[in-house]
Amino acid sequence: MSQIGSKLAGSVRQAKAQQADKTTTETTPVKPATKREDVPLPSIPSRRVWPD
Amino acid sequence: MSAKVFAVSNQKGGTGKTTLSMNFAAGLARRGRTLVIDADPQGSAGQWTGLAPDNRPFPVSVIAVAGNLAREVNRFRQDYQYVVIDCPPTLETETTRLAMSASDTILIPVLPSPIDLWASVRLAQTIEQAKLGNPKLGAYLVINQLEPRNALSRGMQQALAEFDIPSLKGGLRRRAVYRTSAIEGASVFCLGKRGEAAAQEIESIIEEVI
Repeated sequence: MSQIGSKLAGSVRQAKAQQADKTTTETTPVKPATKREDVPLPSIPSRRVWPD
Repeated sequence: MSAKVFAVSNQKGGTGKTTLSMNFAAGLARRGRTLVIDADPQGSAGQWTGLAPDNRPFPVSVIAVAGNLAREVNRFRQDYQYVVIDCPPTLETETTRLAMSASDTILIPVLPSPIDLWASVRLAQTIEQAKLGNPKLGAYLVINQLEPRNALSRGMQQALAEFDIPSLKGGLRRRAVYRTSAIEGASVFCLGKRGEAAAQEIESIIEEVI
């Protein structure tokens, strides 16, 4: 086993680990956006305008 | 007749995909009817045959496919014994995905350089994904431009063992005749004594994969 061969092999292992990390990050499920109907409606105080 | 289909692929440019495709196809043509599909938009395989003199045409037909590659390959399977697809230098295209789904074997030329090795790491994952749809798909790494006196070249086998893809025992040495064959529109099999050693390398690759 040559020294340079071991170094090359080590660098490939490192590249594989980095790629695996990247894939995990990329495949992390994204939290689904809250459905529109789930969002509570804003409470706006009713305002009555009387004619007089 | 149902052709054996080979894709020559690597996401990195300049690894020798077309050189391997053309000489490999020329070697296969000595065994049976062979077709090269130039799936690389650069069109290097087509340019290669265009440089062949009229009295000595390249021994293999080269076609460029614009439509659905997998469908075209299946169409040619009946008429040829071997089909070689020269893939584009990227994994992100539909063409590469279709080439992997339509092939029996993928040959991946890699240069004896750390940067080329690192760039090839992602290819292993892509092949694993392709195998989900094409379980019989085989893949081999092929060392290109090997220089036996160079320490980096000698360390390659050790580094390639880290990949989840097997590497062929045979590889291509760094030889000027491979470049000469392109400029002459020929294969190393047609260059007489000049191409003898290179032709033997291609022959050993063929013996290993068919």
